[in-house]
Amino acid sequence: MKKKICSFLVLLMILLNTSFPAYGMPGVNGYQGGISSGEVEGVQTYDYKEVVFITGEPVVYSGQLVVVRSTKTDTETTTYRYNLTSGENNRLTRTVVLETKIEEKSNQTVRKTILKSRPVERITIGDVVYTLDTLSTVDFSMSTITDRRPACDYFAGNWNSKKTYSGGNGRLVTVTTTGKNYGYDQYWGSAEVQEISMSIESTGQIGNEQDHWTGMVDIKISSSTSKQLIYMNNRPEEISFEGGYLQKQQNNSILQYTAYLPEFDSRGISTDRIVKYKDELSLQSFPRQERLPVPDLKKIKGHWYEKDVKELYSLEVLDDNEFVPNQYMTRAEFAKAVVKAAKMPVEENNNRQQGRRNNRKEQEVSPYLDVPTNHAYYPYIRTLYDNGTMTGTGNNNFNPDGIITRVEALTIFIRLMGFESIAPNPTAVTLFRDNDSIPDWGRNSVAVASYIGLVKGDDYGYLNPNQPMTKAEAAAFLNRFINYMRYDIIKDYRDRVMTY
Amino acid sequence: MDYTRKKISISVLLLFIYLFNLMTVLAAEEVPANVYMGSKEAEVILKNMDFQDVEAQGQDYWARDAIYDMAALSIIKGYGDKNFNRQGPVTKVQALALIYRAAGREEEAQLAAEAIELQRGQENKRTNAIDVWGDGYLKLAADDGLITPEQLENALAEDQRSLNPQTDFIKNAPAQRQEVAEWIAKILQLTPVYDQQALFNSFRDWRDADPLKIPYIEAVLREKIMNGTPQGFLYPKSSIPREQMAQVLKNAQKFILNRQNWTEKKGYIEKIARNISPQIDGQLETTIFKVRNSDGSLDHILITSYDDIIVLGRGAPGTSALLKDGDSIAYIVDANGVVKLVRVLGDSQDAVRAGAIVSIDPEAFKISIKNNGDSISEYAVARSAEIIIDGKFGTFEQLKVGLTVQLTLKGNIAIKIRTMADEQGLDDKEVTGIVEDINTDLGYISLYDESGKKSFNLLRVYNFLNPSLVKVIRNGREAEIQDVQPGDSAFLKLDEQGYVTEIACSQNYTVKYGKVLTKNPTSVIVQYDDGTQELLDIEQDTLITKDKKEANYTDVLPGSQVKVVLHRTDNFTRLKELVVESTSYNINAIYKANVYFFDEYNSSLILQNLKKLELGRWTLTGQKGFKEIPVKDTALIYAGNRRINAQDINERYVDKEVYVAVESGLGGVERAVQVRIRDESDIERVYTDSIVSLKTGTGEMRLAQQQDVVRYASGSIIVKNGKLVGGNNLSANDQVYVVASRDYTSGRYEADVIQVLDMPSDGAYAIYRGRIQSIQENSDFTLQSFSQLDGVNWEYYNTPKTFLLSNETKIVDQDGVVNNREFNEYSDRNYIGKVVTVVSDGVKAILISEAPYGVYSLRGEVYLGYGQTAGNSLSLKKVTVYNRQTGLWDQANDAEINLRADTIIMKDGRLAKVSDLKRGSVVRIIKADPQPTGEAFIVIIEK
Repeated sequence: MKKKICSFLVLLMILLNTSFPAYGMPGVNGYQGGISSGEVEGVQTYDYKEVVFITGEPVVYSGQLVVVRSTKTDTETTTYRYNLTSGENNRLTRTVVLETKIEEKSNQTVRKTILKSRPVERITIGDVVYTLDTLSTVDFSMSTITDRRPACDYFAGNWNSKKTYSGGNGRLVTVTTTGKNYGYDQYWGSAEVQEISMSIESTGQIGNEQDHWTGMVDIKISSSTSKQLIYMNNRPEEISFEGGYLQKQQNNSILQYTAYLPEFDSRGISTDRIVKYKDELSLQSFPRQERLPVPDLKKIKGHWYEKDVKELYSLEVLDDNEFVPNQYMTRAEFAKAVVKAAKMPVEENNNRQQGRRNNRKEQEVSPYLDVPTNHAYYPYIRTLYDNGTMTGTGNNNFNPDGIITRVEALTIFIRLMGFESIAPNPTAVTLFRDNDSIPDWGRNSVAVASYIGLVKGDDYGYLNPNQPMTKAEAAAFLNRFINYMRYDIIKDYRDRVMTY
Repeated sequence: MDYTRKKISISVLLLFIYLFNLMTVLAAEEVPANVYMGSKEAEVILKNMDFQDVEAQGQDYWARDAIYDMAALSIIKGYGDKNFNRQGPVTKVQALALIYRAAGREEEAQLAAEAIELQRGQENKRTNAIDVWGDGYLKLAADDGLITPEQLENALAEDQRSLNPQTDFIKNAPAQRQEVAEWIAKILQLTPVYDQQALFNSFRDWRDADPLKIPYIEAVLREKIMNGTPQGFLYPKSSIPREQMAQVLKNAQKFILNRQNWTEKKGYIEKIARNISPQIDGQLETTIFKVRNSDGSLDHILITSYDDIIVLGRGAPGTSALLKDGDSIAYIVDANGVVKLVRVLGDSQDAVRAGAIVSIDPEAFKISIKNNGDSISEYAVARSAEIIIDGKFGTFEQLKVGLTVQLTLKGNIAIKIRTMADEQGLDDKEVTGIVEDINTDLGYISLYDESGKKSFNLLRVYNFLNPSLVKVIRNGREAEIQDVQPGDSAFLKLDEQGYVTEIACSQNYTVKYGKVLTKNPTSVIVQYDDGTQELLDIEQDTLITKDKKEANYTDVLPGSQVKVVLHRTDNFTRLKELVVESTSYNINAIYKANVYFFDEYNSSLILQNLKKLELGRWTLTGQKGFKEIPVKDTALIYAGNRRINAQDINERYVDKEVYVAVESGLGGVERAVQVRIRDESDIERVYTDSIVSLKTGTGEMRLAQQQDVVRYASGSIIVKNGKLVGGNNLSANDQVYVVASRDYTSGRYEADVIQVLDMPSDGAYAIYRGRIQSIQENSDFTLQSFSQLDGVNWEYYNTPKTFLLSNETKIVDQDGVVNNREFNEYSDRNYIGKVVTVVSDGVKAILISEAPYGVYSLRGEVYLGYGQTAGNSLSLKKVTVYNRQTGLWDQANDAEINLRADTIIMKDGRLAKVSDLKRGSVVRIIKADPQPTGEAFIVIIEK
């Protein structure tokens, strides 16, 4: 008995420790064209809103969505339960169970999803009750691919679905949906965008007449989790610290729809005239907050980069006890800061040794001649070597004590985000005056960094790529990167999709 | 021998000599594709185009080229008096003459002139030859419908002074710019533009133009024949100086060439061969200019002692004596093979040639290279020439026969010689890189080094034999060689000799996002999301889109969000595409309130005593107590004119009065985008007015009714077309609501808020009423007779009127919407014979309503409108009723009027909605009786 309990507990622990995607965005809105308040740790019930078009007029339903996920080897089962109302008397209930097969291919994951069982749905609008027509099939098919980069995962997917409602009195409404989604997932924020195109075809009889109409709806959904840094000043003077940072995490979802539906005459029969309905809805989750530790940095009070340095210390990206702002930053120190900034999992030195003692017979071998495995910064350098972010200076050397330069920092960041593929082929030619003094291996990264607005050059058009960076300058750079991941990348996924 | 026979025999002799020469040289020399001749009139034309006043303006005179080109083509005629009169206004008859000549109808005009002269009696015969010819052009104009027969009479009248300048056509009066535009469009047969006159409407003084001429003006603007001023003025009624007219004609050159069947070619003079052959009575000098065209073919221009060509672009106009070997030229040839003019281009540019070295003369410092088409050219090499071999600096001695080189020439001397870089060799079949430059005229394409370095000596240069034969694929689709752009990523396929045979490339454009700060007639200033600003010219090929469809420049409004696709190189930035926002997050309210505090955690302002600016008045909103408005992260917050941070509000500005501009943002959430904290010691004034004039430099406005000058500054909230804009986007004649503060100390007015009323769109709808006679289902219907609502009266017309039906036609009756499929002759609704009210643009029916007939008009101001009353009724005060007997508006009691399902609601000439009936709106109602109760059949929102 004890053994059984033991193995059961072990099984449970294994299951609980199975790595889910880091911060799990996809799927939290469901695929019905609605938005939820987004995933929050420890919660499975979300606020949810959806617009229903089957009567020929947009009707907004809101309520709760419960999402339950379970995984077994390479199959994931997700159950969505919807419980919504509109006004006093209209209700919508729905249960959908999806089954996803997961396939890992080198750095990419392919997920294929179909319906596990026939969904159940019931909508009351006014005095008509719509349920899924028993004589028609319900179809759903979806495929997503996730590309894993050192600091960020990107995904893109497509789905198709079709379902038919019967509304009593012979009324049948078929909703056919084609959807596309894309998004990214990283520690500092994540976002999903859905672009959905729906056609609503309705046939029925009103009085003696046949009524047959088809309408089209375009829906754009943007769902994001953001971590915002807010500085809180302390009111009392006699307190050990004058203020500190608050990190506020909140989910935000926006739904924009444009529906082209027919106008109905006074008998309720559709006319040839098409009316355009356009509106936007939004949902927010209740914010969670975290007070970040307060560093003791009175030495740099008033320095140009004081704010950046303080933020990085609060976020535990920098932890140097003796911070001298105008001291040069070495490549090794920068490697550690980068790993912490991207919140990459890294095995600290002691763990590594323990692991070796436990069951590994092979010796850990350093890829670099000048960085032994017991070097203070080895774990971080190793992590960046493994994911291709920092690959050394050639000839198996890393040059850990060399000073980090501007172009090196930019290249590291672009590789972290996986953006090298944005650069033109074969090698970009930038518009900086000192284009030719950029090392050949870094020119593409510089072009991309300039394109996404990360670096502008000075007033004369010079980039100064080979300029070494001091600790303060490196702090400003890192903070710029983190803020890009927090606030800038989301504009491409939210604001621009909604506006254009 | 008589003259003609001598001419013939000389020509025959000439031909024979030429052919003879040709045959002897045939073995070594290339056969030209065309042989062109000089013109016998060249000397005469040159004499007539000796304009001292033009020469006196110097080489940089902007109209120089245009005037000389048009004169050389005999469009502008001089009269031997050495004066062009460049600043004199073009008269009407002169304008017609110039344009008809440009269209090649001079002969026709002369015949017409002679016919008119013949018809005149002896006493009336004209003495002035110029006058006679002028008549010919006037007659053509009358025949073509450009002027009326009465106007022709005026023009031909003996005594021009007896004509009335106000009403008659004065041929010697200055032509108006709009007249010139119309005549150019008509005579050169441009297609008039009847719809969307986007360019025309973008000018500030568009209202000054004669409406009948507008489609022609638009056509002329689109072809960039006339352009208006950069400040956005067209000056349709102003005169046009002769120098400008010359430029206008030059701008229309492609149409002129087309109409006259002339061709323009470009190339360079490979060699000038002079030949003197003995004749029976003297010598015959012939000169052959061998021209290598930009498409690789060879043409000869043959000049004898009896003809010549007009050469422009090298000092004052002259003859072929001005031309030299190696000159880059553009020349125009007529349908008979006669060269009308040659313009030297290559004087100020460095020319580039490429080819393989066939011989080197070390003592004379000369090399010969064999280029496209196998012809060999010899060039002198400057002693100080820059010689780069395999990417490194070298010397003349290191050059070897067989190397393929690129020469940069000044005059005809090589100042730079470059060999192709090392990796190339003639074995490479495919190369790749980013395009640095491509020149189809000179036949080469250069790529940056594969590493991305830009240095000149690492460029790789490739030639093509014949640019039009190179296969090009761009962005995955078939394209032309002209489509390849600097900056593209390219793959080139080379043949055994290293010539480019195929190119596959893709564009590398930059995409940026921002907001339009200023809109000019042909350019925009965009402020990007990163704060930088850039001026971008709208070019011919700039694509403007909105909602994934092609849009017009008029859809680009100052303040709108845009995405720009730019083609950026070191030398230029071109705007390829401008995408306008399809979802407009417009400013939908301007509030005045007191600040309670700023919630830092949620980034929102908590306000109290909220009032909204509606129709020029502060009105209370539906929300009582406190209101929380989120503040956008990019919001601008001003204390007066000083920028402050949102956090500063809690330190000093709690309880202060503020103005807040709010947009309906992402997710439909209202967000503050601009906040201005006002100084309470100032007195606030609110007024409705219109702008008379603006001084953009100092930010001063003069309003029509308000006496004092009102200033606006950086902190002022200015809203136009639903967007926050800067003061430079205000224009004269804008109707505005202004909230201004009168400064306590200085007494000056500064605007806190300026809200510009949206202009009513053109093409107001009209309201008709009549009895339906017939209906063609889904197509149209006809009223047997109709009345049209004109102000307070129905004007009756006893003629039928037909309206078109479409899927957008809305049909209503007292129960609501009627299915348009029931609108036919056999439906139960019995439409034939029914009286209906129709809202139409004159052609299409927009709305058909069965609302009853009303003749009484009642006017009032809404105080309980949409959403504020139970059911569908309006409460009005300040009511007046139109008295049909006296024609005056009589005072009446407050009114309570019901709206029907088929009540027609209009505003600014368009259909409006019930929700537009807001508190404060002034409306005029058509109803069945003059009582202050009852139903409204038609509601017209006047304000």
